[in-house]
Amino acid sequence: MSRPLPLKKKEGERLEFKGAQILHEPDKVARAVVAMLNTRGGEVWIGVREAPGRNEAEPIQDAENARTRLQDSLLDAIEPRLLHDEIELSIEGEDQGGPVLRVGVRPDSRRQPYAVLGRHGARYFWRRFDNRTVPLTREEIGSRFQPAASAKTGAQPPGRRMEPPEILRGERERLLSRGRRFAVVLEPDVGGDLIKQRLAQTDYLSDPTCSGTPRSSYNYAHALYHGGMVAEPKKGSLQVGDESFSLGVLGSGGIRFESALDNLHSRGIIDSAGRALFGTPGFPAPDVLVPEALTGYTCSTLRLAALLLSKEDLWDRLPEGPLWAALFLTGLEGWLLPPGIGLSFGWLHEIERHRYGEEVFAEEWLALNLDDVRDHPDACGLRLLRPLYWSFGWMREDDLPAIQSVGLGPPRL
Amino acid sequence: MAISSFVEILEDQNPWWRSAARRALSYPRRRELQRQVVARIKRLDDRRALVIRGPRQVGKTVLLLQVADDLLAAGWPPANLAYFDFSDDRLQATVSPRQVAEAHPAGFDPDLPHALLLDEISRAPHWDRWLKQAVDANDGARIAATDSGAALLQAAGEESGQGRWDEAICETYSLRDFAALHAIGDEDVGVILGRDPALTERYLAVGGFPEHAHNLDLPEVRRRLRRDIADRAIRRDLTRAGVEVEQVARLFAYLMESSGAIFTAHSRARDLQADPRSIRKWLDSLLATLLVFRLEPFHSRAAARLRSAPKIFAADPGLVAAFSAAAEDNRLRGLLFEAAVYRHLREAAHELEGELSYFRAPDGLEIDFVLSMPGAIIAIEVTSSTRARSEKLRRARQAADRLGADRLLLVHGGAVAEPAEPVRQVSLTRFLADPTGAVRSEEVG
Repeated sequence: MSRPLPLKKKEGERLEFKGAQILHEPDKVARAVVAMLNTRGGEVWIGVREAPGRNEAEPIQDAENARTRLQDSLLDAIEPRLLHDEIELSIEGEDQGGPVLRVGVRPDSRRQPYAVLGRHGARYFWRRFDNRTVPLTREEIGSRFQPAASAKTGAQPPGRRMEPPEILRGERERLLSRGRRFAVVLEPDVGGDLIKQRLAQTDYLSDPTCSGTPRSSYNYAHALYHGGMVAEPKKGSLQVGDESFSLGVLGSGGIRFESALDNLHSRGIIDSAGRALFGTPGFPAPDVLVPEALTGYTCSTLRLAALLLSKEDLWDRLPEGPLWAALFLTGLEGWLLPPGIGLSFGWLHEIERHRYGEEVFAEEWLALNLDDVRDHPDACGLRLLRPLYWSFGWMREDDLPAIQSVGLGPPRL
Repeated sequence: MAISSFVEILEDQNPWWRSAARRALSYPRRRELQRQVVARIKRLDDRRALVIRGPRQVGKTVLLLQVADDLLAAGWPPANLAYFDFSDDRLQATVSPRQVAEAHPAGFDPDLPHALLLDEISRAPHWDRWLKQAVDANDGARIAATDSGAALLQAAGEESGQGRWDEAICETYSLRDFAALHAIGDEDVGVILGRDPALTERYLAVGGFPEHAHNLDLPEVRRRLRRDIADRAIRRDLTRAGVEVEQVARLFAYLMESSGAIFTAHSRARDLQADPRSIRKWLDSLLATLLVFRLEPFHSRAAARLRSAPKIFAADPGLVAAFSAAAEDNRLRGLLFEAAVYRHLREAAHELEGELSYFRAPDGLEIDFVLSMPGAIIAIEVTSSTRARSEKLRRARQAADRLGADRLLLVHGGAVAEPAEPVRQVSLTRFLADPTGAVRSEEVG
């Protein structure tokens, strides 16, 4: 069945329209597709022209032939060579003013960055920023080739599927249905067999220094201040905390850290930043994510995963990789995220550019190599955080805070 | 054109003289002492001045500026309010407090009270003689002055403040003050600590120096504290007091690393290859800086107390963390807990009109802190452990019985209360958030 044409929608990070004549310039389509492959995926519609009020469909002559030619062009023009499920070309809207072409784009984050191949071996890297296509900076390109290098290459056991396990689909729906939440979700591809009773006898969940994380940082052990450890037979997990902060460790080795979004808010910081900039007290304080909290909760949760993975005596059977990971933030509309640390100067004057415009940030599942998690948990945490920063318009690598500056102690990059 | 004359500097420091709407740099969070100073200045039936002593960088200047803000907001006539910082680097000659008091801007009304807020007053020559005369003159001057403890000590012998001024101590931030810096709107401290449970840990790590409240780069904070305290508070201030500052700095570092230990001058004299009398003199100098505090042993007889050795504590847990070579380990954690508890108990003891001491029996039974109030003795034992061991509890109960305590309170490092021990337990966070309430409370759990 044909999809409805997006005639009432506007272009955005995950949606782009091109007129039918673009088929004469397939490199421009490749550019749009690569930009989405390097961001969070989406759809490119060819034969839909954006217009005030209502978009217009431009029928494509010999649509089937055009589809085949475009597919060949994209396969030749994009590196790494596209896999069958990374793009999907379909003919749509024959009964709605079409036919037009739809290119569905679904990136595999392990294979980023994608590039458009140019003449003489040149490679062009693009990404989406809101409704625009912008080039990746040198730092961004570098960062996407680092740090979990083996996970990037997609080195998987032969025959391993490339999709997250079924359990995470339900998890995603559950998290997105809750208001004003922050969540870090980690789940091994093939669950292990964690001896939860043994884990409960350790201080691993209550004492963050066991994972090299200072107590004074924002970290997963905050959940303990909100409730003692209990075994949840139904969930097969150890649970700590309450609605405000919760930490769950599943028998599979999966970890769920959740917090009310307001726990990542600090008026004190924005007050100081406002004064630094304007010299006036009472600067109206918007909702601001504290970068120290965002980074602390994310990276410390990865450190907890690293700690558990390194303790073989906790397992009857160790989990097998990759470790699927994602961040979820709901109730985010209108929030701000400062670059660097919370008190950094020089961003409030462009405050509107960095206000989050949607209700939800839901990260695509990232497949992390288990060895990388064990050895480089902070690097993995920063990989999780990067797309969130991008979605707030912070594109440079050093917009993310340094691990030391958020109180996490010596970095494990 | 550069400002250089006294009058220009004075006018620059008092922007409300030009326009009543002008304020000094405003900091929104007030600490309890600031409210007391405002109330004190507004009380016209009390002519005594108030001298606020405190270590460097605890926020004394900000406190005075907030007092100015609040007085103006309450309708105090702007021309009858003068603030002056005697350490202003633009001053080319010494300025006396009398010059400040007699510099009346346009609109000054001699029939109304005159508030004088004098910062770093010991930089002014003969400030104490002037203060005595100004209070005796009883001409409507309402005076609050600040300075570091060490600086004021040097002048203390010259003129007695008895009957002329009261002293208040401005310590580093309490956990409540520290948490308030992280508030969203008028959030209650309990809500802030629930939202950001690491605040207590951060308070232990960086202490209550306001400048560092938002800095999570702990090694950097510790470097700064070491530099600021060792180089400025000790070397600069105590040089003027004529003591051997390098030796005092070494003694200070020792006292921080062993905060809460029983102090004997003979032992330290051996370590520092100095005379015990010098050691006692250096300790007195350090006590005057308010960077360290003494805790006397509990004795029912005063004479016995005189013969016993005191414990010496860091004024603030941040100082212990900054001067300790060890990383975060259990011993250091224990010292941080005790320094923080003592910091807050001083406040509670002041409020409850109690006296603090420690208890140690010859057979080794110990209580970390004893709060003696009219009609009640409360024993307070501190453990950084998250789980109070039965043996520790048993010994604490024995010690409390021995000293005749009416109540025993255990301050522990757990996030949540451990079940059912017949001893009142309170987590460190809850204790620091309300020390007076914790020692008063009869509740168990």
